[in-house]
Amino acid sequence: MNRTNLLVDVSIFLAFIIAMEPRFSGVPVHEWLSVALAATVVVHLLLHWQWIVSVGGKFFRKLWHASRLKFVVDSLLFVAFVGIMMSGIMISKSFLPTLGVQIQTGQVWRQLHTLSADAGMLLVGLHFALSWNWIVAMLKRYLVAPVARLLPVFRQQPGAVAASHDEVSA
Amino acid sequence: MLKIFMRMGLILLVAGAVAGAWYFLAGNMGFSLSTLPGGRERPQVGLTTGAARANAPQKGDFQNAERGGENHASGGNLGGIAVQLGKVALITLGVVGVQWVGNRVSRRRKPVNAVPA
Repeated sequence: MNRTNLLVDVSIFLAFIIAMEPRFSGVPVHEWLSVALAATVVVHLLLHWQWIVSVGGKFFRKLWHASRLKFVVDSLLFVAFVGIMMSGIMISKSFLPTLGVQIQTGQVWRQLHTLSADAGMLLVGLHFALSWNWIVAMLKRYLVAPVARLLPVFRQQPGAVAASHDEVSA
Repeated sequence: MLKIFMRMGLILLVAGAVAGAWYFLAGNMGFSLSTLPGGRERPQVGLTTGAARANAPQKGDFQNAERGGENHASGGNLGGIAVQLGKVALITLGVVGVQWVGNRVSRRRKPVNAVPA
């Protein structure tokens, strides 16, 4: 399950970074990648459904704790992300025309797109920071430990790799 | 399976409500947004109709109007990707750093119980 979460999260992050730089991909890829990103975010939410229900249910009942802050940040990120998608669709040059829809919109949607994208960037950074321990643990388990196993220096000291596994399991 | 579809429906329902709120915001706060960073309009030369203005490249949009407009094909701008990565890393490490310092300070403030000899 952790591996699936990590794969989905890494995919979302890479897609987000590429989508944030339309000069890199070109606008058609920017738009279609963002649509795919929206679908992946729904999968991300489904994978974390238990956490959302659990923290959401206790939100007004318990005192301040880190999960509550994370819930607020994640909610704001969701709002920002919907804003990015909504404004992006409204100023779409490739996605909507492909579907045969033409919308004449004003400058406001462009400004909202920029504003919500900037807010999204800030909130993604906060989201990562609040999940830092999980990210470090997963990187140790799925990146550092396999690479360490391949290196002869670390192969002679299996305790180092085993320790990182124990840390994650705990 | 039905449970997953119901959850998906709920997510889309909430997303729809939030999108409605954004639509309302766009309809009612259009003028005030023009004062925000990135919201300044580039002076348009030779564009007279509202539709032409709306479709023209704007500052604060994709920022590649200088390179042929926003429909310009992929420029392979890896530097831009690095900048975006740097922004996220800066925010994340900044907050993690603040948390680390906060933890250190709160540990120091905790009273140390004297152990009898």
